[in-house]
Amino acid sequence: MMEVMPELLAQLADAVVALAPERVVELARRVIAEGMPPELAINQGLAAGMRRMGEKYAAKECFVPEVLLASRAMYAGFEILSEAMKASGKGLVTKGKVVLGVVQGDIHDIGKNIVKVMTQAAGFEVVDLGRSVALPDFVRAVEQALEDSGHDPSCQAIRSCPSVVLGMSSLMTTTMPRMGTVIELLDKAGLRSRVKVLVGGAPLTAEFARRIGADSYAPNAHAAVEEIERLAKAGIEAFRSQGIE
Amino acid sequence: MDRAKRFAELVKGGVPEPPVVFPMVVANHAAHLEGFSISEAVTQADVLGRVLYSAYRFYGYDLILIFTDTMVEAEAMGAEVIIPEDEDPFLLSPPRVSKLEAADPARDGRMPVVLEATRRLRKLVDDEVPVLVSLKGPFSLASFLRGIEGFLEDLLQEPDRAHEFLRLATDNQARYAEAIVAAGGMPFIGDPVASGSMVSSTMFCEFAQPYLARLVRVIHEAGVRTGLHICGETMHILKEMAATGADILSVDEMDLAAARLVVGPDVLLMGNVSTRTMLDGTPGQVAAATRVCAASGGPRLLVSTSCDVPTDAPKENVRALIEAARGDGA
Repeated sequence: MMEVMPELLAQLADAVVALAPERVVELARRVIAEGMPPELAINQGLAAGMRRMGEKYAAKECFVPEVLLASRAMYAGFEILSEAMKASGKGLVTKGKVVLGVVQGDIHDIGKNIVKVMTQAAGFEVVDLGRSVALPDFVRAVEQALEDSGHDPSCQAIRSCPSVVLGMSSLMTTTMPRMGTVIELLDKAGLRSRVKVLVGGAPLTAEFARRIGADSYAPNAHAAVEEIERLAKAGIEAFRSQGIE
Repeated sequence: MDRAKRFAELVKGGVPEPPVVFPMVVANHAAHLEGFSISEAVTQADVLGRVLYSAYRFYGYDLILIFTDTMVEAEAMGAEVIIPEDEDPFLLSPPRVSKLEAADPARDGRMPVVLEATRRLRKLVDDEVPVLVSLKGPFSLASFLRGIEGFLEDLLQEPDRAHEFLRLATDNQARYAEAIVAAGGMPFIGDPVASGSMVSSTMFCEFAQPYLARLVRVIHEAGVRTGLHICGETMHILKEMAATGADILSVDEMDLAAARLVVGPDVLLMGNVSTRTMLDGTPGQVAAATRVCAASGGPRLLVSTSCDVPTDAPKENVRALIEAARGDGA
């Protein structure tokens, strides 16, 4: 019987917010030594810390340098805890796959990188396509993610077909419309109904997201993770409604 | 229409009639207007000069801005830049920098292209219109050379290293600014990474403002005025931007009335019709947005866009901005 020590989880979250990787590492080792479940420490320790950073950033209580250092601290603990999970033969149970990328012609990727960290902390597996991603590459990556998830159109069990979410961003007015093009390409490839699409980036609006046919829009990294959680759940609900359990 | 005279009056503190208007048309939009690809315009001085001159003649706005991309200086200092056929150039990430030393503006990277285009434009327009030339702010240049994320982390963890990059970047920009002035241009500072979306006002004060102030002094000593454009949110760093001594503060999308309250009645603001409206809006929407800017920014406003005019923004929208600013068809 593994004992859960709530104060250790709170300390982990605090250490992420304090931008203290050494402290995070020390606490992660203690989690393992105490025999606590590593996934709990990831979800309720590290991810909770990153969530707080996301909230602080959205409230302008901290800025990008602090968020970047918090993510370094988060990763330091994540590495140790996920290793421990692998070693125990459990492997990482993910809430689903998230494909992320900045559209072609746009190299502003800091926001995307922050969303990546927070999404991983929240328990998703992230496929990071990088910046200035050629539009067909998004479609290929979505197709691959669906395939890797054992996700086929005749999916019979939710367990074997976790949700796939595509997150695209653009920081330039000129490249924004390209996200709409990717959605059209997904449609042509017959994949649109099997993936949820989230878009973000400074010049975007919810109205623009609707117009290009995205499922959702997030104004900042914190909201992006909340939307990804919501979309992943909606994906599962969609299967349930088709009678797949 | 005495463009140079009206601009001089505006930066001196006056309110010229008709007002000075400049939708930020740069190399990419101008290239497409003339049937060139972006890569041709940003690598060849004759094409760059020609397309910017043609765009100026075509639209009839009141300034010319030579801006190719944000990477000119980093490239000249040894960073490897990718120049796609018809997209804006960009830096490899993480940056690959071969030597990292101050550039020779007459020789390194595409600085000679920009300087030659400046001389050509100056000859073409004589003294009828100011020719602004984009100059990267030290904070942005340092971040490109170091890698943006690494640089932002240094601000907290290794401030000495950050200051070292900033000093090198400032020295480089001082030299380039003097070369721009010698070629007949007016350096116009753009510092996109020193944005309020990235850093706090405390960090801006420590890492961006003093170096910008030094650069502004160098430009003033060379005998010309200068402006400062910062992208993203800038409300909480506007005062600090003004304290750099820059003659014009150019802002991204924000409420100009609120900005005016922060900086006071005399500071010359520039902006800020949304580039989204320029790309997607109708001429009527652009005209309406322009009138909102003019009314909320007050008389000490250089009417412009929130950032550069998108490459393929409709010509009618650029025209609509200019006409609305001048009060035509209102």
